[in-house]
Amino acid sequence: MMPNNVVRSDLILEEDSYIYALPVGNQFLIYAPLHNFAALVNRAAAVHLRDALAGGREITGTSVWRDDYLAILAARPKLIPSPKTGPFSPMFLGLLPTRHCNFACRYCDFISLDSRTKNMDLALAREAINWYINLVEQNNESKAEIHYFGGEPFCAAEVLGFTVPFAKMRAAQVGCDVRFEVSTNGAFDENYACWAADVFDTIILSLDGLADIQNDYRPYQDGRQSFPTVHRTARIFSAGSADLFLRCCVTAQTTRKMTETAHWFCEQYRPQGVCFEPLQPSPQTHATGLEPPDAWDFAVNFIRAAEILEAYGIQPISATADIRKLRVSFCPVAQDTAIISPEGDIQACYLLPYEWERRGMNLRLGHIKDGSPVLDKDSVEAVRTLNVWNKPFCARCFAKWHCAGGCHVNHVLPDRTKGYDRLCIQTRILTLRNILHALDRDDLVHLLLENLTALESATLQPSDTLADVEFL
Amino acid sequence: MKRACVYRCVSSIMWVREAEHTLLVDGHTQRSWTLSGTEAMIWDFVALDYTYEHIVQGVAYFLGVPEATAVHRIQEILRLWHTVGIIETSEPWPM
Repeated sequence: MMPNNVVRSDLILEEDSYIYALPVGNQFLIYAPLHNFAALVNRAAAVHLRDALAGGREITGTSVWRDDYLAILAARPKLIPSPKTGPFSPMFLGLLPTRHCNFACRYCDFISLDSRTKNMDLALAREAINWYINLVEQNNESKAEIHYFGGEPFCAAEVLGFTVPFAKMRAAQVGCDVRFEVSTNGAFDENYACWAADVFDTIILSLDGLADIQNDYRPYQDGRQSFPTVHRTARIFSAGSADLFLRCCVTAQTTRKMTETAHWFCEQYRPQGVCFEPLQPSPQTHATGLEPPDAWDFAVNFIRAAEILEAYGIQPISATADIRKLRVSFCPVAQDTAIISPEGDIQACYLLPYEWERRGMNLRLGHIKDGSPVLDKDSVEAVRTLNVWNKPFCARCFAKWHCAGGCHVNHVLPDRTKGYDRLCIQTRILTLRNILHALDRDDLVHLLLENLTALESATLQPSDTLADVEFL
Repeated sequence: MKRACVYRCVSSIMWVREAEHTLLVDGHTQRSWTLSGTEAMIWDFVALDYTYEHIVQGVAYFLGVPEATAVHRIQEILRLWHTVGIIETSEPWPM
């Protein structure tokens, strides 16, 4: 029988990267997300933990590390996020009712599409739902989920009006629940807004800020100002039963307005969460003179905005820094999500095909033809490999299980020798902030924001793996 | 000249959409109805100002029947709603 204070480590730190350490001022954050563990310790305790776990040798408990904590960290995590295997089992069904949009956002590539692009045929929508609900039944799942993307889904309102009740009926027939989520610009009449607020479980409404920003960045195609309509819609959604999330695109020009925007949202609406997303640069954004925000500026202003939101009980969201999620892929890609285009293609991603094709990727999983879905098994397997296990750049980053390398299409991972890029830096700062906030140590967050050297030490550390960190 | 029958909701009817049903209450008579499935969908289509063409198409795909059958089903439902006092005919429009 082993003495109480001796445990054997299963981990070989040089090979596994499940335990991380980051300098936070004169302390160290020990972070093991797969063990559901985080602690702030001093240098001596961090070094002791590293030495104790190294090489799978026996660990002797000390007064610094409780035996049960050491035992937790010494064991392999019980749940290690893994790529999908086995039969095709969609995370959700995505429907693209149309690629058309009634807006001409200054940063959006969709505006180049012909406005006569066709809407999804109801027969196709029916087949897609039948196929998906049958899969849910075959896989013995109790919940189905349908998400609507675009273009603007409400530009094909007849597809939404048909598919929601039809999916409910089909789900009831196989004995499962179904929930609905829509991403929308909110530019439609009051009747539709009331209907959406009643029938959707989650609504993600794009709103870039107060009237001046919204009207400038997100005008109607004919140049009209969109703020009055979208503001009215947001108020209706706030009063409805759907969970409302506001999505706000931030540019270099609007970074400094994030706190003002957060305050306005809190005063005017009742969202569950507000997601601030940095502008994704593209030829379109260059043409319209918009630039992505500086990573440090964005992170600092996000944290200030987050504190305003949290004071109102509203969740601040940075998509790549959500520490509640453990994942191998940032988005629906690689999770067997089936997103049906208006033409009947089954895609892993809702972006326009040319966007992934220009990166040499194929995210098309199959198609629905003459009422019959046909999946290309090789494509499904190839897309499943798009996960953080296959992103060596991320291997030793403490944020890897939350960010998973970000968007597979738009986040081209940097050259290892050049260090972290803009998206990595902001993700690392915000992930660190969210961990410290969860530890109820916002005081340390403020100290880091006031001490750029300390913030850089944590953020620019080339490897966070416990075995690699230099405990100076 | 043929004249189309135009329906409108009885003014004393109040309605609310719930997750699985649409509830209707007549404020004068205190009678109530619960609409679900095809009926709830048609109610929403009318409330959202869908064209008759779209309503017919939606019901046809919902029920998996030809459009002629969908037309018949829609008319049955409208007649029922009229009979029980949920909708009333307004001035007919010339066609």
